[in-house]
Amino acid sequence: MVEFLTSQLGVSIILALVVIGVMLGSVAYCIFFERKIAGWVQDRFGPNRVGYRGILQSIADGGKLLLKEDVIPGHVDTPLFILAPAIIFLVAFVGFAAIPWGGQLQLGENLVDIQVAKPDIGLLYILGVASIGVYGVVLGGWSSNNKYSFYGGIRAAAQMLSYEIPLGLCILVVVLTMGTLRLESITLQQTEYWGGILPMWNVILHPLAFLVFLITALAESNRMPFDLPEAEQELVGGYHTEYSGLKFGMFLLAEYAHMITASGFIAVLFLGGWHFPWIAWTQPEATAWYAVIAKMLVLAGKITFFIFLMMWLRWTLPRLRFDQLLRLAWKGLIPITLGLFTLAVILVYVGRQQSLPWALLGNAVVLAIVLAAAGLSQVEVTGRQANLPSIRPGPVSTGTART
Amino acid sequence: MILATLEPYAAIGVTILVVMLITAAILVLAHVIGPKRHGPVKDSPYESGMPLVVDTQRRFNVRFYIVALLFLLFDVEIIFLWPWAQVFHHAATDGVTIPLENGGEVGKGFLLVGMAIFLALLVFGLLYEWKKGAFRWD
Amino acid sequence: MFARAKARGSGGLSAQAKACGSFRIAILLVLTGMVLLAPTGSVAWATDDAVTAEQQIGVTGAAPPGGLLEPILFYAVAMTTVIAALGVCIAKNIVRMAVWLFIALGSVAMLYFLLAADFLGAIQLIVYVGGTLILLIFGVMLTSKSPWVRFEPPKLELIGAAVVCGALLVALCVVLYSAVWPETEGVVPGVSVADLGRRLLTTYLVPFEVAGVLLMIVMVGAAHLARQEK
Repeated sequence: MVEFLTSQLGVSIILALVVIGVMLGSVAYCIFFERKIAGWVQDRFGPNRVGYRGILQSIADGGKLLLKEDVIPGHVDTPLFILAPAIIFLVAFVGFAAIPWGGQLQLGENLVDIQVAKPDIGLLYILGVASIGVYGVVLGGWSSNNKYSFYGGIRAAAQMLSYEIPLGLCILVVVLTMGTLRLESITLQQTEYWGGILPMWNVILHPLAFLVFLITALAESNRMPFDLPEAEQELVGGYHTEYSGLKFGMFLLAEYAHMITASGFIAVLFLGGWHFPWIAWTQPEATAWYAVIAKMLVLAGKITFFIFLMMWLRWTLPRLRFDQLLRLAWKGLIPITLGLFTLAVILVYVGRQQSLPWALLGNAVVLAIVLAAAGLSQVEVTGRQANLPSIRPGPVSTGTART
Repeated sequence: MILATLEPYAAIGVTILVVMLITAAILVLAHVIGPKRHGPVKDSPYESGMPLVVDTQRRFNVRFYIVALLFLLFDVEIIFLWPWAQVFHHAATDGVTIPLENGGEVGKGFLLVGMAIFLALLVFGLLYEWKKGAFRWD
Repeated sequence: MFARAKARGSGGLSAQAKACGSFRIAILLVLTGMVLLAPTGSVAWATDDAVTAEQQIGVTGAAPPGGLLEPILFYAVAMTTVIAALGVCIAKNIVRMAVWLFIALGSVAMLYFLLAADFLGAIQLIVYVGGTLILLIFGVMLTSKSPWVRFEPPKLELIGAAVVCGALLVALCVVLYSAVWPETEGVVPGVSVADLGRRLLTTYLVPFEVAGVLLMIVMVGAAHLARQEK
């Protein structure tokens, strides 16, 4: 038994169970933090009644959803109506399996990886799982037999498909630079330093690719400013309009789980995963248990940062229009990522893929081209009509109407 | 115990099983615990409180279909880039050459040209679509 | 389209509906054949099935090193595939058919993973499940006017389809039993992604570039479909 528990397989299975538990807990608390951050942005308190400063709010929410009626309206396609939240929930909680959580751990004589699975195609595994997620949304929208749900589902599908292409091209930039599809090797290669000081994180090497990746990750998890599928002002609740009780809760939890996986993915690809520079405990050589915990905390910190960023953006940015959203993907992000891909190919060809000045110079050139092209073709990409009058703040009303 | 090629996926299998169990448990629990009351209003599609005048017409803009079509094309093109990216990286950085069946070998230049032709076709297709107005949604 | 066909009665099915019906029956028969052949295939499992001609991977020899778990997994996934494919044939509602097809294609991806063809499995998920099937669902939703379209092809079409499928089944069986399967000893490692890339740009360079040309032609075609009338 002990032999099995200290083997790679045993550790992987234990880790999988632990991560599922932690994910379930943290998605519930993500909802609490989202509301707290909304309160902070809008200068109010947010939930503060249940427990100390509202800390038990999520548990109360879960309990409430559980006790609510699980309505299956008479007009829906019942099997698909139940299947849709199940698919989306399953996909959201399976994608994280390829993320390396904490490097390697020395267990007796074994050196085990703190990772649920390390397949040869790690990156493609996550992409493959993510591409199934579309079904939950489309089926949810279709089976509800409701106009709003249906349009929400169709919108979500078109949006997720469109942003998958720049996402793939961005990841290809990293793959070209690193020469591997394994997430643990990608992390490991980022633990070296330029000049002994600056960590070789991809965000420093390819800042543009990082930005585009962040945007596509927002769009893939249907977050503001890309939350058109559930735009409540036009579509009530989008694809989950007809859902209630815990089925609605599953859609909600899946969205936050999606955010966590996406954040983890960004952290591993561009921010060195569990690596924190200049600290001995988070270097690949450190394999003691406390080092592994330190590494996990570093990765958790990075993930928390990105989740905070996503929430902050949600309460700050207005929503795009759907034609703008599609245009941004096809006329904006895809050409940019093709340019970044070409840049990466050139850098690799001349053998300078890890050279900071070359990479930054290339990024500057791509940025200059993008800005020039955007200036020349504003109408093309933003959809703004050239002959519209410019929007200027008019004279402020003196308040006569109010008296 | 488990085939070597399958071992990376063993823990994923366990993950999928556990999450499936959790999903089923949630669905069953929610169904059992909650109250059940049906009524004609509750059973009709929700339209912000308005009475339903027309049935759900599942007609939508054909442009959504075009988006899916274009996505599929680009997706297939990108699939070819994944294996190439790895091989090209090793050929360019480590100087690995690929042996041919006729005894010769090719290096990074060959790989670059091979993919450049393929990508040029992709970019040509993209520009053609752009010119033809496939990406106009206004 | 389907709604109109239904309104005119079973005699007046449109061309697409006819083709679709025959296709369903075709799949049904091929799958029935596969289920019938499964017992004979189980003997061959350890030597033949795992080593497909193009992948040259999998388990060979009398005793598979994976023990019992491997065949159990294989049969579980294979049965899921067959059941889901039967579901595609039996379902009357078009979107339900698409859902069954989703399960069938997903299980085929699992089969690829079981055969250690990781890359192929991921591609199956990304391209077929995540792309083609969505396109199909969009197409179905575009063409069907009513959501609850029932789909029942007439008897004559069933018979015609049965003949075609029977022929296909016989042809497949002949190929399956007359083919010479490569035999290898022990565990053969799966093909890595880099191997695939190497082959793609050397041995299969010409087909690869031809595929590029084909994709470009399809893109041009799609551009004409998407063209705006202005």
